[in-house]
Amino acid sequence: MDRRDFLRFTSLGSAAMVLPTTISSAVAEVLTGDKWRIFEVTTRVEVLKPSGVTRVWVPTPLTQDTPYQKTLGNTFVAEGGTSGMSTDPKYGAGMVWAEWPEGARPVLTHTTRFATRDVAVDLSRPGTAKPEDKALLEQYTHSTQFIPTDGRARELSSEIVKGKKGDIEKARAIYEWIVDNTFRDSKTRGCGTGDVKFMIENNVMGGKCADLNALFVALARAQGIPARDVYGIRVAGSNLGYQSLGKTGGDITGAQHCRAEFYAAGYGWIPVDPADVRKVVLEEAGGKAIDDPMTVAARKRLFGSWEMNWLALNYGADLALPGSTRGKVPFLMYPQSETAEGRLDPLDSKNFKYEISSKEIG
Amino acid sequence: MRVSIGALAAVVMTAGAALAESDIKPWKGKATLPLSRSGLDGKVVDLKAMQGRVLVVNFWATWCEPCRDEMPSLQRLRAKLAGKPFEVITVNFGESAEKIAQFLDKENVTLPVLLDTQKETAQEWGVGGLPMTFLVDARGRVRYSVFGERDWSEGPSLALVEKLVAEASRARR
Repeated sequence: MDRRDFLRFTSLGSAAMVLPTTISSAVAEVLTGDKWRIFEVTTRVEVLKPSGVTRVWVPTPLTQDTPYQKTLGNTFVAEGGTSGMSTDPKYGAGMVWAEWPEGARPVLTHTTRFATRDVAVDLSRPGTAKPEDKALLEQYTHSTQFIPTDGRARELSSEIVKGKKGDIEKARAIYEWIVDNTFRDSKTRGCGTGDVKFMIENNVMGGKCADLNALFVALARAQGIPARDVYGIRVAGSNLGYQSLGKTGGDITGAQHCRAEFYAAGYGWIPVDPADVRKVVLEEAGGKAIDDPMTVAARKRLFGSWEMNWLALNYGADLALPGSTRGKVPFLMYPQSETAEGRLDPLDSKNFKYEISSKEIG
Repeated sequence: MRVSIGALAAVVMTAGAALAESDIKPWKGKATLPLSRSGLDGKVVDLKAMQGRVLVVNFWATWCEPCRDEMPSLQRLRAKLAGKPFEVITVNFGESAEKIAQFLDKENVTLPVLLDTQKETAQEWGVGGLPMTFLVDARGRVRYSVFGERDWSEGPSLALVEKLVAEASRARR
């Protein structure tokens, strides 16, 4: 590793507290819940078969406050190694990194506290949200490794929005199309790969959140509508009665969940989650029909609002991990690690063990 | 509104097991793709050195249920075409040699397996889901690909492989 590059990419020392104070410029005309809930999430990562220099990266909560989430702080410990915090320059994706020399036992513990409240955007009338930065919006219309915006993606998107006017109407058509034409596949590993290019080229309309919500993002971007995946993790049960859309009991190790947002002038960033509608269909109380009242309610609610029993981590795509000798990751939702043998599979618990817990503290 | 984008394959990042077979599609990507990987025995297998034989190159993982279901048919195919200019090469997607060896032993799989622990070959071949299989002709050109499980030992899959093998045999004469 080029140590200078590693240091240049990082921002803080071996332990840090981060207290974001700014609110994103383009907040939506939001109808947030009144009560902020405060959670503490702890991630403990251990590489069970270290080899040579071992490195670990853990995503932090959003580095910029939003109407629905404020980061209160991050602390981390990596005994026997060096560690720090880093922010991806393009997407602002925050991460804690740690590095151990050969012979050390690589264990990283990261604890974060954040405040959250439910969020909904009033779509009945144009709002007065301050415009988002143009360059930022432009960025969220571009293609990425897995998010195509031309070719078949554009053709499909244009078919879907035919006759629709305005970004909200078009985004809604895409949302409804995804709910009607995709399915949640229980066999998909983890949250899916988010490889929309592959999905569209192979007519594969199944997957999990990272696939189905990325499909929304690609189809919206293909129309020039700024859209982004929001990678995160469920931290508590649902208060709306959806057992499948929450995580109770404190152990949230496997509760990663990706959502999506799109931007409309006057409204700001609008939350959506078509993948969770499909999750209700597949998993809620053994499965619900598409016209079941619970599915219908979720479908209505998840275009324009999110229940915030979930921690938003970042919007990043094609991220370089600081200090890594390997390639970029398509997204950063799971802890990542590499040894002299290469990048480890974050879903292979025999080599790469991690536990994530959540507790509500206020 | 519903918009058809053609027959929706019943497959995803892993292909559905008990559903209709996916279509084998003519390959439209680069004519040749690189593949040089170590097998479980440590020996490097390079596709360039295998020209003259038709290859079925199958990407799979132990956690992929449709891959596991498909493997016996690849073994049957290999047995059926034994002695002909043909070979099955499987490339494991991102797992360790130890894990693969345990699986092969348990499932009694004898197919050649190449390691791709960092998924670099999978990326070069555009593998976005499993199982994914490519048919490579005797000149080393990728001719067909399919995402999803198939029975390779009979029906249209076998017929297509036999057609390529026949081409190779004619070229040899």
